[in-house]
Amino acid sequence: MNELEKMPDASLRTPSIQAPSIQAPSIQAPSIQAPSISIGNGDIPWWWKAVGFAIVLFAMPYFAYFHLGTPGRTAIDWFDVALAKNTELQYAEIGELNQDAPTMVKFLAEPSWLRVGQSVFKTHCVQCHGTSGEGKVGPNLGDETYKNIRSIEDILTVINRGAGGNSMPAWQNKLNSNEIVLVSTYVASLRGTKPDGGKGPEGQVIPPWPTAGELSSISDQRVESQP
Amino acid sequence: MNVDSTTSLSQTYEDRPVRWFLFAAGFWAVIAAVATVVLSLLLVMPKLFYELGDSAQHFSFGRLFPTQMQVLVYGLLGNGFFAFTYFAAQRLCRRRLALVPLSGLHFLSWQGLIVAAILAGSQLQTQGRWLGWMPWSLDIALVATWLLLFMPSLVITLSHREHATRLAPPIWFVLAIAIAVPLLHVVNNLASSEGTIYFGVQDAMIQWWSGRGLASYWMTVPAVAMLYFLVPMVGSGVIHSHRLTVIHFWSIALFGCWGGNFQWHLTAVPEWADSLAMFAGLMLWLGCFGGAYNLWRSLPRNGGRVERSVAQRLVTAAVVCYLIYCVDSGYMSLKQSSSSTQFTDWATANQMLAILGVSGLSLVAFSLLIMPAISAASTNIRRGNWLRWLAVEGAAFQVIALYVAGRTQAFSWNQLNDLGRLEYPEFVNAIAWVEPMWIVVAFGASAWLLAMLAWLTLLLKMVSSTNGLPATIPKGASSESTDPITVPSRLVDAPVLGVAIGLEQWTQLTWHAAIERSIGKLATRIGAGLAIGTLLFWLPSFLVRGLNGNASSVTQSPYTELELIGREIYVREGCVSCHTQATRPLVPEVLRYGSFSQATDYAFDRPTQIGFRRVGPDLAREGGRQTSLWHWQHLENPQSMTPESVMPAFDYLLSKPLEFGKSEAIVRQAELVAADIVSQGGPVIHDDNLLMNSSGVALIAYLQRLGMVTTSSPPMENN
Repeated sequence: MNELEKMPDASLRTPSIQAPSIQAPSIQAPSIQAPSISIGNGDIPWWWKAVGFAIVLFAMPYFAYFHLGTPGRTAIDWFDVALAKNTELQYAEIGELNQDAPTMVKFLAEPSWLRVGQSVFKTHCVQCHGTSGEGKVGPNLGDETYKNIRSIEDILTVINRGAGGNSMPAWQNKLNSNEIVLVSTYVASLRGTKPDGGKGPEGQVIPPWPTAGELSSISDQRVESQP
Repeated sequence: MNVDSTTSLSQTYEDRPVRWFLFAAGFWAVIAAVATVVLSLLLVMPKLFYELGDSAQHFSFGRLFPTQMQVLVYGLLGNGFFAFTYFAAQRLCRRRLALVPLSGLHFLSWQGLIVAAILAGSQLQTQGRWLGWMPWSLDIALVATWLLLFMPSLVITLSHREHATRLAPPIWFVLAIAIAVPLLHVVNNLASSEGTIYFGVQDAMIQWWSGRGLASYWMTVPAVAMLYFLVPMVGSGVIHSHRLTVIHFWSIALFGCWGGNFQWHLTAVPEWADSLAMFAGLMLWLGCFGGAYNLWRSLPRNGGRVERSVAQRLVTAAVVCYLIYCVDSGYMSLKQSSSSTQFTDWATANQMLAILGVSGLSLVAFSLLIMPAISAASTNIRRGNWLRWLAVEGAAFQVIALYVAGRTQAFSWNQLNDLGRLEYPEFVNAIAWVEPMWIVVAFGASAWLLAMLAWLTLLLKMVSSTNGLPATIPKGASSESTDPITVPSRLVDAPVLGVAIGLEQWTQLTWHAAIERSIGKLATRIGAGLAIGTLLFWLPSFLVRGLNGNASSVTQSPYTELELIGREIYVREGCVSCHTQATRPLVPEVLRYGSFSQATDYAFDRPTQIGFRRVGPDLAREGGRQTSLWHWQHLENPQSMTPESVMPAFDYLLSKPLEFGKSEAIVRQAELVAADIVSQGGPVIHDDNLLMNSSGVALIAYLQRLGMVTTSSPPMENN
């Protein structure tokens, strides 16, 4: 069949792919110079057909279910539900928090909620204030000095609206109200922790945070002073 | 010398182009492997080139990545594909290559293109589009080379085959590539010419459809063509099933462009289009898996008793890789897999599996198999085994480590704790976790580099040895000339309609033999298949255009001139290689980054930079999250802000002056940004003065704008 085999160096020109000894005897290795590819009549395996039919059959109801405009079935709708559930999981117990000093002082004493504040802090604040609030571009939050804060509720203002020109970005539109209260409380809780590698003092020393008792007496006074 | 004098030249094979292209493939494979090692080292040692000072910028991850991809695709896979085509077309058609001088020009032109692509990249000329990085002029040159220097000799050789035999399956796939690649190239680039027709989400869809489609055409289809040749060659010369082959082929011809569909999931692409993409992807991967199974069944069964040759083992490894690749790609096609695969190293692993495992191993096997036929060089079995071992281990280490890294990243990004908060709120946590895997990737890449060096030495021996003899073309038909026979229906006696019997006969696909006989029929049907697949996509993409129109409240580009300059820097520095701009509607993602991205966010983006991999965090909502001073210091030395960061330093941008021209608006905004930085206490690391008209200031202006497009007016001008 093959003229090449008559040539003196046929072994070089028409290598069988395997040396004869390592080729199973029944299998004739095709010649690379005269390849002949034959195509068998193998069946399509049943499982392949099954998967194929399943995909095609699945596609139609899938489209009908998701894309005929029935409300509540888009990925965005599903996301909204998931987000609502998540928000409920996070805040069902506390509801919508007031952004004020009493709320902050109350949560200063609740470590499980400080953890939530810490999570917000680690997501958004550590780039400038450091992992434990030691301060990088932003000031040290673990000492006793503050730049833009005189009382505990000033923390809320700084986080909401930013400070120092654009030195501190405003987070009002990026975080929800509860997140702002809880991260502010967490920041307040960092006071005096003296983290390692802390930045030097900036701003001035301010009076300690009020206690719950002090705050209630203040509000009592207010109530009393009202006519 | 030993040629029978009666044998005329036309009765011999022309193997010079095969030798050149194979050698070029080996050469570029080494270059690409070096780039791969460097890139994987950069992920664990971001300061690798710090000592180089200013010239370190040429080796930043963002600039090297497109180069690596282009050398892999055009250099290794492209040259390999041409070598295979020139070899197999002659052998399977029993014809000497037509228009031989053209193939020489083709070779020179193709290598020139690769060099030009690298040079253009080093000059920062990029279109910022996936597999569309090359400047438009080079794309035209590529398509011209393809149509004028490659196609004519291929088509003439094929149509002059003896006896008008049925074309063998490898040739079908070669034809599909030959038709699809220029088409996809043109479509992908229509976006970037001056009279651009795509923008925003539509632009993103085109990038993923034709750019990623092109990627799958390059990264797997040539290897499939090769495997349909290699599997029978290392075995008994029989492909298991005609029907599975036909299905495999048409699933690629119809849906081959949908290989990148996973990129659409949960982005701003409308959901119905995404569902369409999901099912198109599933059809593609179903057909491909059937084909992979077909190849697997066609592999020789030696029962473990007989020693296998190097090529045979490599072919087996490539088929196994292809099986895994098809299953994984099908999995990634599912929308539901998006949160754990998309943007993680999982998708990178899938791609490396295609390039190294499927294509690389097939190509090495192909060269070992044909080496004795095209040169007098002999292969040493021991060296061959070393080469095989290094290549398989190198690919396996990289791919497995990347898969593990992908899962790890997804876990770190998405895990919520009992409070409903992010368990790992700091993004760098994921980096710290996957660093060991990236070290394994670097190790695997080094093994692959050694394999490619061994391969190149082998190929060097091949080109430097004598051409040997012009091989005489044997007489006789190549593939079987008899058509498959339709088995009589089992339904004949059953009480069913004639239609059912007809359908049963039809599904045996014997009618397909008529198509296989005619190159014209095959080519027109491939063209029709591509057209259907294209239209299936094209129409939705233009409907999406209306979606951009919904952003008509933003009638003018929201970017200021300075921000646009910054955007250009973002594009050309290849920031997209590591940062996405797509926050998906997933709870952990929204907790981490902010509200999810919508079509209006991209309405004026061209090219969109939605991205594909998050080595660093998503930037879709970056604007206003950090101060300008932070950005300044972070660009100068990322590790000073985040010690675990693997971002390269971009200090040269801060000292690189920009020509602002006469535009007052630019100068005013640059002043504002600079004043911002100074008022915030900078520049504190540099002692020298802050350069106001620097690339860095423009980039910061753009970064501060990201995610603010539809939510507020430019913040700088309100100040």
